[in-house]
Amino acid sequence: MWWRILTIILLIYTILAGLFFPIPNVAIVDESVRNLFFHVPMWFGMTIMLILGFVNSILYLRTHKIKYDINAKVFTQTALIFGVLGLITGSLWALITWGYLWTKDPKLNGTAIGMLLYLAYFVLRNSLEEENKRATVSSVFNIMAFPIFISLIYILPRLFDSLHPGNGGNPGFNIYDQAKHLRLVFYPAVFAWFLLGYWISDQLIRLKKIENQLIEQEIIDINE
Amino acid sequence: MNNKSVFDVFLNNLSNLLREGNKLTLIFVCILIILIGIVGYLIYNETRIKRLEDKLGKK
Repeated sequence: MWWRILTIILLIYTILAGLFFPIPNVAIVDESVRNLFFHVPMWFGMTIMLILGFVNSILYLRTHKIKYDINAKVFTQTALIFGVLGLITGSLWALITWGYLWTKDPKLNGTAIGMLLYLAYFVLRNSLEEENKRATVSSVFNIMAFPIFISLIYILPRLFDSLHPGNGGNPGFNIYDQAKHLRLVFYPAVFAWFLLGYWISDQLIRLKKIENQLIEQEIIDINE
Repeated sequence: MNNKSVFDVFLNNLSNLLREGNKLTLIFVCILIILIGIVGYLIYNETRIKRLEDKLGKK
Protein backbone atom coordinates (compact mmCIF):
# COMPACT_ATOMS: atom_id res chain seq x y z
CA MET A 1 0.00 0.00 0.00
CA TRP A 2 2.76 2.48 1.00
CA TRP A 3 4.33 2.54 -2.46
CA ARG A 4 1.03 3.49 -4.05
CA ILE A 5 0.75 6.50 -1.74
CA LEU A 6 4.41 7.29 -2.50
CA THR A 7 3.58 7.17 -6.24
CA ILE A 8 0.82 9.76 -5.83
CA ILE A 9 3.02 12.04 -3.70
CA LEU A 10 5.96 11.80 -6.12
CA LEU A 11 3.74 12.40 -9.16
CA ILE A 12 2.24 15.54 -7.61
CA TYR A 13 5.76 16.68 -6.66
CA THR A 14 7.06 15.98 -10.18
CA ILE A 15 4.29 17.96 -11.86
CA LEU A 16 4.45 20.93 -9.49
CA ALA A 17 8.24 21.10 -9.08
CA GLY A 18 8.82 20.22 -12.72
CA LEU A 19 6.70 23.12 -13.89
CA PHE A 20 7.57 25.75 -11.27
CA PHE A 21 11.06 25.10 -9.91
CA PRO A 22 13.74 27.55 -11.09
CA ILE A 23 15.73 26.36 -14.10
CA PRO A 24 19.12 27.43 -15.47
CA ASN A 25 19.17 29.86 -18.40
CA VAL A 26 20.09 27.84 -21.47
CA ALA A 27 19.95 29.43 -24.92
CA ILE A 28 17.49 27.88 -27.44
CA VAL A 29 16.26 25.29 -24.90
CA ASP A 30 14.85 27.97 -22.56
CA GLU A 31 11.80 26.87 -20.56
CA SER A 32 11.53 23.64 -22.56
CA VAL A 33 14.30 22.26 -20.33
CA ARG A 34 11.43 21.38 -17.95
CA ASN A 35 10.65 18.53 -20.32
CA LEU A 36 13.71 16.88 -18.77
CA PHE A 37 11.43 15.91 -15.85
CA PHE A 38 8.87 14.27 -18.13
CA HIS A 39 10.45 13.03 -21.35
CA VAL A 40 13.63 11.48 -19.89
CA PRO A 41 12.05 9.80 -16.80
CA MET A 42 9.34 8.33 -19.06
CA TRP A 43 12.08 6.71 -21.15
CA PHE A 44 13.81 5.47 -18.03
CA GLY A 45 10.48 4.06 -16.84
CA MET A 46 10.00 2.39 -20.22
CA THR A 47 13.48 0.85 -20.10
CA ILE A 48 12.93 -0.53 -16.58
CA MET A 49 9.59 -2.02 -17.67
CA LEU A 50 11.28 -3.60 -20.69
CA ILE A 51 13.97 -5.08 -18.43
CA LEU A 52 11.22 -6.55 -16.22
CA GLY A 53 9.51 -7.99 -19.31
CA PHE A 54 12.81 -9.41 -20.53
CA VAL A 55 13.55 -11.05 -17.15
CA ASN A 56 10.05 -12.53 -17.00
CA SER A 57 10.44 -13.99 -20.50
CA ILE A 58 13.67 -15.70 -19.40
CA LEU A 59 11.92 -16.97 -16.26
CA TYR A 60 9.10 -18.38 -18.40
CA LEU A 61 11.51 -20.30 -20.62
CA ARG A 62 13.26 -21.67 -17.53
CA THR A 63 10.17 -22.67 -15.56
CA HIS A 64 7.29 -22.82 -18.12
CA LYS A 65 5.00 -21.15 -15.58
CA ILE A 66 2.37 -19.16 -17.47
CA LYS A 67 2.36 -16.36 -14.86
CA TYR A 68 5.80 -15.24 -16.08
CA ASP A 69 4.52 -14.96 -19.64
CA ILE A 70 1.60 -12.83 -18.44
CA ASN A 71 4.03 -10.63 -16.47
CA ALA A 72 6.29 -10.25 -19.53
CA LYS A 73 3.35 -9.27 -21.73
CA VAL A 74 1.97 -6.74 -19.25
CA PHE A 75 5.36 -5.10 -18.51
CA THR A 76 6.04 -4.80 -22.25
CA GLN A 77 2.56 -3.33 -22.76
CA THR A 78 3.16 -0.69 -20.09
CA ALA A 79 6.64 0.00 -21.50
CA LEU A 80 5.06 0.65 -24.90
CA ILE A 81 2.61 3.16 -23.38
CA PHE A 82 5.54 4.96 -21.74
CA GLY A 83 7.43 4.77 -25.02
CA VAL A 84 4.59 6.47 -26.89
CA LEU A 85 4.37 9.17 -24.18
CA GLY A 86 8.16 9.60 -24.41
CA LEU A 87 7.91 9.96 -28.19
CA ILE A 88 5.17 12.59 -27.93
CA THR A 89 7.03 14.65 -25.29
CA GLY A 90 10.29 14.21 -27.24
CA SER A 91 8.72 15.34 -30.52
CA LEU A 92 7.28 18.45 -28.87
CA TRP A 93 10.71 19.20 -27.43
CA ALA A 94 12.29 18.70 -30.85
CA LEU A 95 9.77 21.10 -32.39
CA ILE A 96 10.75 23.82 -29.91
CA THR A 97 14.53 23.35 -30.07
CA TRP A 98 15.18 21.92 -33.56
CA GLY A 99 12.15 23.32 -35.35
CA TYR A 100 10.83 19.93 -36.48
CA LEU A 101 8.64 17.30 -34.86
CA TRP A 102 10.75 14.55 -36.44
CA THR A 103 14.21 14.52 -38.04
CA LYS A 104 16.36 11.85 -39.67
CA ASP A 105 18.28 11.55 -36.41
CA PRO A 106 19.58 8.02 -35.61
CA LYS A 107 18.10 8.24 -32.11
CA LEU A 108 14.63 9.08 -33.41
CA ASN A 109 14.68 6.55 -36.23
CA GLY A 110 16.14 3.91 -33.90
CA THR A 111 13.29 4.57 -31.50
CA ALA A 112 10.71 4.21 -34.26
CA ILE A 113 12.21 0.88 -35.38
CA GLY A 114 12.39 -0.31 -31.77
CA MET A 115 8.74 0.54 -31.14
CA LEU A 116 7.71 -1.29 -34.31
CA LEU A 117 9.73 -4.27 -33.10
CA TYR A 118 7.70 -4.38 -29.90
CA LEU A 119 4.45 -3.87 -31.81
CA ALA A 120 5.46 -6.98 -33.78
CA TYR A 121 5.75 -8.80 -30.45
CA PHE A 122 2.06 -8.19 -29.81
CA VAL A 123 1.09 -9.11 -33.37
CA LEU A 124 3.00 -12.36 -32.91
CA ARG A 125 1.33 -13.07 -29.56
CA ASN A 126 -2.14 -12.51 -30.98
CA SER A 127 -1.48 -14.71 -33.99
CA LEU A 128 -0.89 -17.80 -31.85
CA GLU A 129 -3.86 -19.40 -30.17
CA GLU A 130 -2.37 -22.26 -28.20
CA GLU A 131 -1.35 -20.84 -24.80
CA ASN A 132 1.99 -22.63 -24.22
CA LYS A 133 3.12 -22.23 -27.82
CA ARG A 134 2.25 -18.52 -27.69
CA ALA A 135 4.12 -18.08 -24.41
CA THR A 136 7.25 -19.88 -25.66
CA VAL A 137 7.45 -18.18 -29.07
CA SER A 138 6.75 -14.71 -27.69
CA SER A 139 9.25 -15.19 -24.84
CA VAL A 140 11.96 -16.05 -27.37
CA PHE A 141 10.96 -13.01 -29.45
CA ASN A 142 11.03 -10.74 -26.39
CA ILE A 143 14.48 -11.99 -25.36
CA MET A 144 15.77 -11.23 -28.87
CA ALA A 145 13.97 -7.88 -29.16
CA PHE A 146 15.32 -6.40 -25.93
CA PRO A 147 19.05 -6.22 -26.81
CA ILE A 148 18.17 -5.00 -30.32
CA PHE A 149 16.02 -2.22 -28.84
CA ILE A 150 18.73 -1.20 -26.37
CA SER A 151 21.32 -1.11 -29.19
CA LEU A 152 18.99 0.97 -31.35
CA ILE A 153 18.25 3.64 -28.77
CA TYR A 154 21.29 3.72 -26.49
CA ILE A 155 24.31 2.42 -28.46
CA LEU A 156 23.89 3.21 -32.19
CA PRO A 157 23.02 6.94 -31.71
CA ARG A 158 26.31 7.34 -29.80
CA LEU A 159 28.27 5.98 -32.76
CA PHE A 160 26.86 8.41 -35.36
CA ASP A 161 26.19 12.15 -35.64
CA SER A 162 23.10 13.00 -33.65
CA LEU A 163 21.24 16.13 -32.60
CA HIS A 164 19.94 14.43 -29.49
CA PRO A 165 21.60 15.50 -26.21
CA GLY A 166 23.99 12.90 -24.82
CA ASN A 167 24.49 11.28 -28.25
CA GLY A 168 26.81 11.72 -31.24
CA GLY A 169 29.28 13.73 -29.18
CA ASN A 170 26.58 16.15 -27.93
CA PRO A 171 26.70 16.92 -24.23
CA GLY A 172 23.89 15.73 -21.96
CA PHE A 173 22.14 18.13 -19.59
CA ASN A 174 24.62 17.66 -16.75
CA ILE A 175 26.81 20.54 -17.92
CA TYR A 176 23.87 22.96 -17.73
CA ASP A 177 22.97 21.92 -14.22
CA GLN A 178 25.25 24.32 -12.40
CA ALA A 179 22.90 24.77 -9.44
CA LYS A 180 22.38 20.99 -9.13
CA HIS A 181 18.78 21.59 -8.09
CA LEU A 182 17.47 20.01 -11.30
CA ARG A 183 18.41 16.70 -9.69
CA LEU A 184 15.98 17.46 -6.84
CA VAL A 185 13.21 17.01 -9.36
CA PHE A 186 14.80 14.66 -11.88
CA TYR A 187 15.51 11.66 -9.62
CA PRO A 188 12.11 11.71 -7.86
CA ALA A 189 10.54 12.07 -11.34
CA VAL A 190 12.32 8.92 -12.56
CA PHE A 191 11.07 7.07 -9.49
CA ALA A 192 7.54 8.50 -9.86
CA TRP A 193 7.13 7.44 -13.51
CA PHE A 194 8.59 4.01 -12.78
CA LEU A 195 6.22 3.51 -9.82
CA LEU A 196 3.27 4.64 -11.94
CA GLY A 197 4.22 2.09 -14.61
CA TYR A 198 4.63 -0.61 -11.98
CA TRP A 199 1.23 0.24 -10.47
CA ILE A 200 -0.50 0.00 -13.86
CA SER A 201 1.31 -3.30 -14.58
CA ASP A 202 0.44 -4.70 -11.14
CA GLN A 203 -3.26 -3.99 -11.72
CA LEU A 204 -3.24 -5.51 -15.19
CA ILE A 205 -1.49 -8.66 -13.90
CA ARG A 206 -3.99 -9.05 -11.06
CA LEU A 207 -6.92 -8.51 -13.44
CA LYS A 208 -5.55 -11.19 -15.76
CA LYS A 209 -5.18 -13.54 -12.79
CA ILE A 210 -8.81 -12.91 -11.78
CA GLU A 211 -9.94 -13.49 -15.37
CA ASN A 212 -8.07 -16.82 -15.48
CA GLN A 213 -9.56 -17.84 -12.12
CA LEU A 214 -13.06 -17.00 -13.35
CA ILE A 215 -12.53 -19.06 -16.53
CA GLU A 216 -11.30 -22.01 -14.42
CA GLN A 217 -14.32 -21.61 -12.11
CA GLU A 218 -16.64 -21.61 -15.12
CA ILE A 219 -15.03 -24.78 -16.51
CA ILE A 220 -15.46 -26.50 -13.10
CA ASP A 221 -19.10 -25.35 -12.91
CA ILE A 222 -19.82 -26.66 -16.45
CA ASN A 223 -18.19 -30.03 -15.67
CA GLU A 224 -20.20 -30.35 -12.45
CA MET B 1 21.18 28.60 -4.86
CA ASN B 2 19.96 27.44 -1.44
CA ASN B 3 16.74 25.50 -0.81
CA LYS B 4 14.85 28.54 0.45
CA SER B 5 15.38 30.51 -2.73
CA VAL B 6 14.39 27.48 -4.85
CA PHE B 7 11.17 27.31 -2.87
CA ASP B 8 10.64 31.08 -3.20
CA VAL B 9 11.00 30.91 -6.98
CA PHE B 10 8.64 27.92 -7.02
CA LEU B 11 5.95 29.85 -5.13
CA ASN B 12 6.50 32.94 -7.22
CA ASN B 13 6.18 31.00 -10.50
CA LEU B 14 3.09 29.19 -9.28
CA SER B 15 1.31 32.34 -8.07
CA ASN B 16 2.22 34.20 -11.27
CA LEU B 17 0.74 31.47 -13.43
CA LEU B 18 -2.45 31.22 -11.40
CA ARG B 19 -2.88 35.01 -11.31
CA GLU B 20 -2.35 35.59 -15.00
CA GLY B 21 -5.15 33.29 -16.16
CA ASN B 22 -3.78 32.83 -19.69
CA LYS B 23 -3.32 29.85 -22.03
CA LEU B 24 -0.56 28.44 -19.84
CA THR B 25 -2.87 28.43 -16.82
CA LEU B 26 -5.38 26.45 -18.84
CA ILE B 27 -2.70 23.92 -19.88
CA PHE B 28 -1.60 23.60 -16.23
CA VAL B 29 -5.17 22.99 -15.09
CA CYS B 30 -5.60 20.39 -17.89
CA ILE B 31 -2.42 18.58 -16.77
CA LEU B 32 -3.70 18.54 -13.18
CA ILE B 33 -7.10 17.21 -14.29
CA ILE B 34 -5.42 14.44 -16.35
CA LEU B 35 -3.21 13.51 -13.37
CA ILE B 36 -6.17 13.45 -10.98
CA GLY B 37 -8.09 11.35 -13.55
CA ILE B 38 -5.29 8.76 -13.89
CA VAL B 39 -4.69 8.49 -10.14
CA GLY B 40 -8.43 8.43 -9.43
CA TYR B 41 -8.97 5.65 -11.95
CA LEU B 42 -6.08 3.63 -10.49
CA ILE B 43 -7.49 4.00 -6.96
CA TYR B 44 -10.99 3.03 -8.18
CA ASN B 45 -9.52 0.03 -10.00
CA GLU B 46 -7.57 -0.94 -6.89
CA THR B 47 -10.73 -1.22 -4.79
CA ARG B 48 -12.52 -3.09 -7.59
CA ILE B 49 -9.69 -5.62 -7.96
CA LYS B 50 -9.45 -6.05 -4.17
CA ARG B 51 -13.20 -6.76 -4.01
CA LEU B 52 -12.96 -9.34 -6.81
CA GLU B 53 -9.90 -10.97 -5.22
CA ASP B 54 -11.70 -11.25 -1.88
CA LYS B 55 -14.78 -12.68 -3.60
CA LEU B 56 -12.74 -15.31 -5.46
CA GLY B 57 -10.69 -16.07 -2.35
CA LYS B 58 -13.84 -16.93 -0.38
CA LYS B 59 -15.12 -19.38 -3.03
